[in-house]
Amino acid sequence: MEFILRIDVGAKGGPTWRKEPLGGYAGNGGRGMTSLIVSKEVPPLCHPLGARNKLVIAPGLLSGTSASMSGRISIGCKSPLTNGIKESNSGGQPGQMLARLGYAAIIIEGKPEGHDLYKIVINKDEVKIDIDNSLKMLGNYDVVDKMKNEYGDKISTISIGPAGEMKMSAASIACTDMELRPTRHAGRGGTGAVMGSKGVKVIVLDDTGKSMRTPKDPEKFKEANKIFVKGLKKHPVTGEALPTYGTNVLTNIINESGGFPTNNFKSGKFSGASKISGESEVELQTKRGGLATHGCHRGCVIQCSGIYNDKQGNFLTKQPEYETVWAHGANCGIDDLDTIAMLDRLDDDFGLDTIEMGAAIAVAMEAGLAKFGDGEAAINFIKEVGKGTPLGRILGNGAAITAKAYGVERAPVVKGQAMPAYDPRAIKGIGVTYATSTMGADHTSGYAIATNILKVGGDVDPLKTEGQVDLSRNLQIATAAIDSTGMCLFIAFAVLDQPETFQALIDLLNAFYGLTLTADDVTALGKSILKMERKFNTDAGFTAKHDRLPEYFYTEAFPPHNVTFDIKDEDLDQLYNW
Amino acid sequence: MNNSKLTTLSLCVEEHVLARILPILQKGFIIWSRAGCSLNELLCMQQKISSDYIAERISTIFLDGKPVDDIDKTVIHDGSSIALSGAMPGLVGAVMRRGSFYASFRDSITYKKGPDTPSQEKCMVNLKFFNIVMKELGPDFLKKGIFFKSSDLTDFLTNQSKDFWHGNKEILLNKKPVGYSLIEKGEFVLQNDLVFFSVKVC
Repeated sequence: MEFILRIDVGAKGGPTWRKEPLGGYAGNGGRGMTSLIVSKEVPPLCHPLGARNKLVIAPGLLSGTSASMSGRISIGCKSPLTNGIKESNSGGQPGQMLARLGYAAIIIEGKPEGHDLYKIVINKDEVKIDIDNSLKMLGNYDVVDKMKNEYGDKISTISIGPAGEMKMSAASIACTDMELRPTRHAGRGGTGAVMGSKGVKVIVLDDTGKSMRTPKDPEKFKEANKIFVKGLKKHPVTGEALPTYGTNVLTNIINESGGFPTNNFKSGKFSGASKISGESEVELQTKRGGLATHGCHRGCVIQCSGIYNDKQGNFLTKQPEYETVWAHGANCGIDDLDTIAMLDRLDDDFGLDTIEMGAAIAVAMEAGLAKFGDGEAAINFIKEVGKGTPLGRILGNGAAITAKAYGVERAPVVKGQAMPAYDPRAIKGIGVTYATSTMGADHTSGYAIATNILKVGGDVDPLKTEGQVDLSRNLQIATAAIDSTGMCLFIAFAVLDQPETFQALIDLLNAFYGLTLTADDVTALGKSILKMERKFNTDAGFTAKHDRLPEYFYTEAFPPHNVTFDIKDEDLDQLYNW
Repeated sequence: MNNSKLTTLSLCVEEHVLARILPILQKGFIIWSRAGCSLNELLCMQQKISSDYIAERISTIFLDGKPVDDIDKTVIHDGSSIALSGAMPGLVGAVMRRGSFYASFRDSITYKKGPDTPSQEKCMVNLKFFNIVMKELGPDFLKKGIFFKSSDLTDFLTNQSKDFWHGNKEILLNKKPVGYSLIEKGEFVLQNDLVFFSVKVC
């Protein structure tokens, strides 16, 4: 990854591109790269859909290598949903291909005149940017089919659907999986709208003729990868629970805990949970000839995904993940897996974040536009978004806008972004992360449960309630670091319990780059990323008042435990003091 | 329980059918215990689950929706609902584990032992098996037979398709062979609230 590909879509006479050396960006990858470029090159007060915002696409430090689980790709910009900095990452094949093509980042800048749509094709020999208005308002599935017809099936693509073209704040960017289907998304924060504002419909990557990236010390790298894979396979979460049931294995557990937001965060228990659980989903998929265990990119050993077939046994969508099953299921009162799978398919096709759409539809249901549990109405809502009707444009701009448009107080958002599938009143520590994350409400911002090994910020007593802010801080620092490697966050479970697996991850980086990193260096990387992101947000106008949950989380008791969020403001304000 | 009124249903099924029956254990089944006993006693002594299995495989336990850390200090009462699960993914999955490093994240909902209320009275408990526990312990529990609420079992069986029933080699209702159409239509639920249900692979 020796180059940055800089594309100016606003250049006179049409888009131009140039290959640049990494310069000051050398040594960065994934979220570290996107947040650094956005911090340095994007004015914090710019309009997210304007010429001065930039869309940055960066594979992780280990992407394109033979390291297992290293296929994540980060996409960064100023978010039209939160108005702050955004990094959203995705699985699929593009991360590996972009890295093998030698690019540490693609930066798309400027704003095109007119309404033409562009297709960017990148292979080992050239970069080609063409107008292709035949792609206008096509869904991601049709776009990929067209690209496959034109460029063959050895490609991968990064694309937007109609939601991105209409610049909706819930628009995602789709990445293709191993079967060349647009099922993997950088979902959060409206990155798809920024790609739409640049007039770019699809980026086609073809790494034919390129091989795996070569480590500085191949023997050490191979050995570290062996230990790393062994650690993932022997751990009960990464070796059993995730491959067997997928992420939706969480539905029963979170529901049992009373922290499963139901009917727009009104209660923490959903009576239909067992009908939509991972256990039931796997049984149904297997019965219909789908797959319960499947990877989203080559080199994945956890294989937490699957294939969901319809009643006739035909492919409908990938196995809907826990967050999707919750967002379109319990949060909308829907207990039918086929309805949830159809909503997932439509979200993927139109290019929408499933969490944001589930939250927006639940708010619409609370407003009285449909009844909770009405699956047909939910499907119609998403179709309205795809068509761009006035109602669809409201929903497609997320839960906060939908709540404003319909006068609903109960909008479960922080910094404009909808909360994921864990109620912060029942699980308060995650509420600290929702409130303080640079990304808006985001469970993956504090996900890397390796802090007991990293001991970032010193030792914390996990049994003390007052330790929650410290723990959340440490989680956010560790996550920012892992997000830079290109590694899937699910590796964190094995890393948490098995020090040798954590060491293997560091050894992979050291062997690849010829470095001598320690756990302290990983911590320092995470801190520097958070510091940059926090500064961008401060300069964009964010204050401590934005690091709060909506008022009703402090006042409305949440059944069945009847708890409220009661972490003090002054404690939340300590999160960035390190 | 008055056994003379007990409804029993026994299925003799092909292997692949058993996998389709296991998800019913997510909603829970009924066991009898002694009010005031510890969760450890209930699981090890009464239900004969080995302590090694509990230590190594059952990483996540809930009593009445509250995450449990210490099974010796967790006390059963009439109407208790217990859920058993393996280690779970996600930060919140890790948070819910027994003795989790992140236990403070769920401090306000964690099970906390109340004052001792010794009792020898028989009590009814709802036991749920999730994920790997469902897969690993479920077949043995079903083979021995367990009690289900009639409504839960009816709901489950009447939602099964023809191919499910075609994988049943023998169906015994109150020890008498019956055709699957009777079960499929839910006409087997008599006056009882509970059904003793057993499944073996043959």
